[in-house]
Amino acid sequence: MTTMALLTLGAFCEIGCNEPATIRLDPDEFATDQGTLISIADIRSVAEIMVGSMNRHPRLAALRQRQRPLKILVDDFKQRTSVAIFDKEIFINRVLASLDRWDREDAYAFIHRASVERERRLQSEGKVDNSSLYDLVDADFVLSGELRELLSRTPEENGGELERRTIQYTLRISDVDHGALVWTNSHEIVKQQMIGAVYR
Amino acid sequence: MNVAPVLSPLGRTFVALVVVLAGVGCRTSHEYSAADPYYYDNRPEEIDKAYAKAIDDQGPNALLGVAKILSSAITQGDWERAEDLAVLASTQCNIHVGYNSGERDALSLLGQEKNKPFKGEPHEQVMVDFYLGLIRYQRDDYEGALAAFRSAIYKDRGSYLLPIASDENEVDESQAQRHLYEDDYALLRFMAAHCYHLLGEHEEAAHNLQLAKAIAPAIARLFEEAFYEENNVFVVVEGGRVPIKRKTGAQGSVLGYEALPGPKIYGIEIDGGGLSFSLVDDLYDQATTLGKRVVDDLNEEKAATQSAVHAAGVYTTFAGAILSQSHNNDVQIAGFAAMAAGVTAMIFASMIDSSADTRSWSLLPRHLYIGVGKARPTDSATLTVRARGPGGDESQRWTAVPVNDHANLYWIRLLPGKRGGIWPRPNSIQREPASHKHKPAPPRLNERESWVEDLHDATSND
Repeated sequence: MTTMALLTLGAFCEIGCNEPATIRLDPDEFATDQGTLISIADIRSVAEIMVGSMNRHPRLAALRQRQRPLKILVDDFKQRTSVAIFDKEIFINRVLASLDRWDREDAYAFIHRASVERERRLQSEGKVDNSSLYDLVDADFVLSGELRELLSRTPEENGGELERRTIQYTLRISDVDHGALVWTNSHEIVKQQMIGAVYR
Repeated sequence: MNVAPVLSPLGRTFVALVVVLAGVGCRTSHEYSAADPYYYDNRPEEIDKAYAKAIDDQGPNALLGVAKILSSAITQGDWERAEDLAVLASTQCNIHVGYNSGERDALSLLGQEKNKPFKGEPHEQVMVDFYLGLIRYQRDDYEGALAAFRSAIYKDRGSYLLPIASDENEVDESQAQRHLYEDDYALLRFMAAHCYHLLGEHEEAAHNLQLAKAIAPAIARLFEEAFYEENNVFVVVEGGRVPIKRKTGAQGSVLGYEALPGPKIYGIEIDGGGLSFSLVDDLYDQATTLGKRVVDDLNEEKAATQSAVHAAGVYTTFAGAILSQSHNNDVQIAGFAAMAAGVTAMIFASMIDSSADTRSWSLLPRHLYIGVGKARPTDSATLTVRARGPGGDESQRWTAVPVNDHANLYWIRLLPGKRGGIWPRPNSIQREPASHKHKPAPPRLNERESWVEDLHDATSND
């Protein structure tokens, strides 16, 4: 009886009245999840797929043989998902950095549209004169893209809903003179999470 | 020490029961509610101090604290800090890990709904992303704002189990039927439409404007006015208090709402020119029109179980007490055992908390108004909102308001005692120095040098 009383007391002290332990998330594990939002792991994998596709594409390969480097204007990348916390520049940066890492033969020269617009503004304001720098904005191709989504919620038998978000990443390279598509690739990442099991 | 041989099966069961009860009963967390009155006393900075620990809180109420500091930041016009907080709140609000420990607790018989990580009801979740959208719109990030408004829209739609009418019971014996809901925040659709418009996507703009007008047909013309080329001013005015969450139904197992009266707006003017304005959304309507939540059904089941277990405990204890008076030793022992079982059952019943979760983002407003009009570009406009609340005049007058020639969005929170002042500009808020901000500022390049560096980086392979 005494043993049982001590065990009971011990159980209360040891388990019952401790403050909950602090939870520390493993950044890698966290980054691969993020519910149905976009994680850095998604960005890394899609960027690698896009770069692989560009490098294997026969028409781009032929163009790289003829002209080196290919001057590509990095144009608008539309973010049209309902993911409120996503910085699209992270994706673009990752794609360009991956290309740069792969590109041992100086095949590409990328110029950001924002930089071009700033240069033109500075020139129009007379703060800089026309220079050889301006020649670099005379790109041959334009890189643009979009991020779009499909979002569905399926009722679950025991209450709650399964939220499934498909994010489609699309990149394309077009000829700057005619707008003809030279290369394009899309990749979808589907993620899901339970919502509403407790929260409606 | 191996305790298994020491304890009988009954003893082990008893210890296990005690451990379970203790584990459920002693969970603690910060509440983030004690300083709320300061906000309605027009002292939002007190919220920052009282709830500062929410930023690093890993407990179930973290979002509650962060959301309230967000309210404080935007009320002070500290938009830079508000955006950081809105992003943090949106992250916490949008990521559901699904059946994590808090959710399992809430679903279990012994669990309490208040122990689940606070994510807010849909009308609260909507406001997290709505504020994020407003903040981004104000700094001309229309694409980011659109994503936030669309995220908010998705919070207000879905499918829900609702009790079916009694005359339909023969059709479905489950007593519940699933209903699909479309979003009905006119302001969100309107803001999404305007973002699409500013991004040059006019087809999507027209579609969302049409939806906004369908939700609030009485103010369709006001929405259209916002798209007139000459109109460059939007004012979002928030007034009143979000409805108070109440425990209703058997043993408080059903979440209900109590509405509080809010102020009425009589006029919005900028530089003497009147704006068209109207009430657009009412959070009391939004909170109460989705019907019962799934968790309410669970809570009602818990309440019923609690009553049954408690009644059984009383009966068993009473029967045991009678038997324990017997002169027969065996019967007496059985009586004591029955009493113990009865008391245990009553303790068990007392540990079941079926009451609804009433944690609330209590600093939210009740009413959302919008004003639309035009003003000449200037650095020194005067913006006036004339309003009267239940406690008296709640009018505000703001000076030195900057007006651009394109879209200008102003957010105003009506609070008793808040009268306006000089319009807060970005970076005009004095903050407590943070250790990481003591680093010397990097040397500033002029624009041309910066541009050359960018270009060099971008074309380093040439």
